[in-house]
Amino acid sequence: MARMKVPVQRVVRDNEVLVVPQVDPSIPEFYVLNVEGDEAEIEVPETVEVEVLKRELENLKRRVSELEKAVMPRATA
Amino acid sequence: MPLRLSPIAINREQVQLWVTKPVDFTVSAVAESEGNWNYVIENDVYRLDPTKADSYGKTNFIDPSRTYPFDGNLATRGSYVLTNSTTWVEVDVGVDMSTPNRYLILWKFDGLATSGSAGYVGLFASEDMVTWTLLWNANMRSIGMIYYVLIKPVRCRAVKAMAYNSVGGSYYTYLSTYELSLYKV
Repeated sequence: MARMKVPVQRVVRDNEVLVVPQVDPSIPEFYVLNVEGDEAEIEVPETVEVEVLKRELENLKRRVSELEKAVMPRATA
Repeated sequence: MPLRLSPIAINREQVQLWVTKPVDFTVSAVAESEGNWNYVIENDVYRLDPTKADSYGKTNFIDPSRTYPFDGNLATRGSYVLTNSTTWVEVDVGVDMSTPNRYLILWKFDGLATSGSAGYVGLFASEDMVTWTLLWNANMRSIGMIYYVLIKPVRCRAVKAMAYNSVGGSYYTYLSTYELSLYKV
């Protein structure tokens, strides 16, 4: 499982304080392992990590394809 | 209260603790089998009876009329509770164990979000009923899915579910708990 450190937001709500790690919304599921001060350590399950990496791969493929199309006319000019 | 894991899952002194350096174990799957929680830690299968949980029969402080989360039955749940709040709000289930202890937490629920929005569901824990720390979070899909959540032992007094929706208005996040079990370890 992948681990990462993220900043923590403290939200005051009624008479409570919510301690919420700020995680990229592209990560669909995570566990909070520890909170120390303004930093939290989170863990992303392997199944989720695969999903996130596949999405990143698709985005990279799309980006490469866009760049190739942009470069191609210049190369043939 | 003895640790109800068989075989002994972990050296209790090495369990992931709250705000102490962890010694890891990897949970590879959480599900259920014959009415019991069923999960695997490093190739060992563990089964826990939900009627033996320390939270069994406790009052649901979010809505006392919703008793399914503590009825010891992994197959029953109430209708969906929904929220269109765009900030975290309490939904569906919460339990106050009265005194802080270290608990292994298992949660089974059904959740979804209106298509076109992102629905977030989280489980929060507190030692003092004032400061609530997020333990686990997931983005709901637009079709209902059953989630099994295992939280490695943490020190807390109470836990509760919270949710919000990224859009709000006519967009909702839905949640319905089958069971929430806290085992003192």
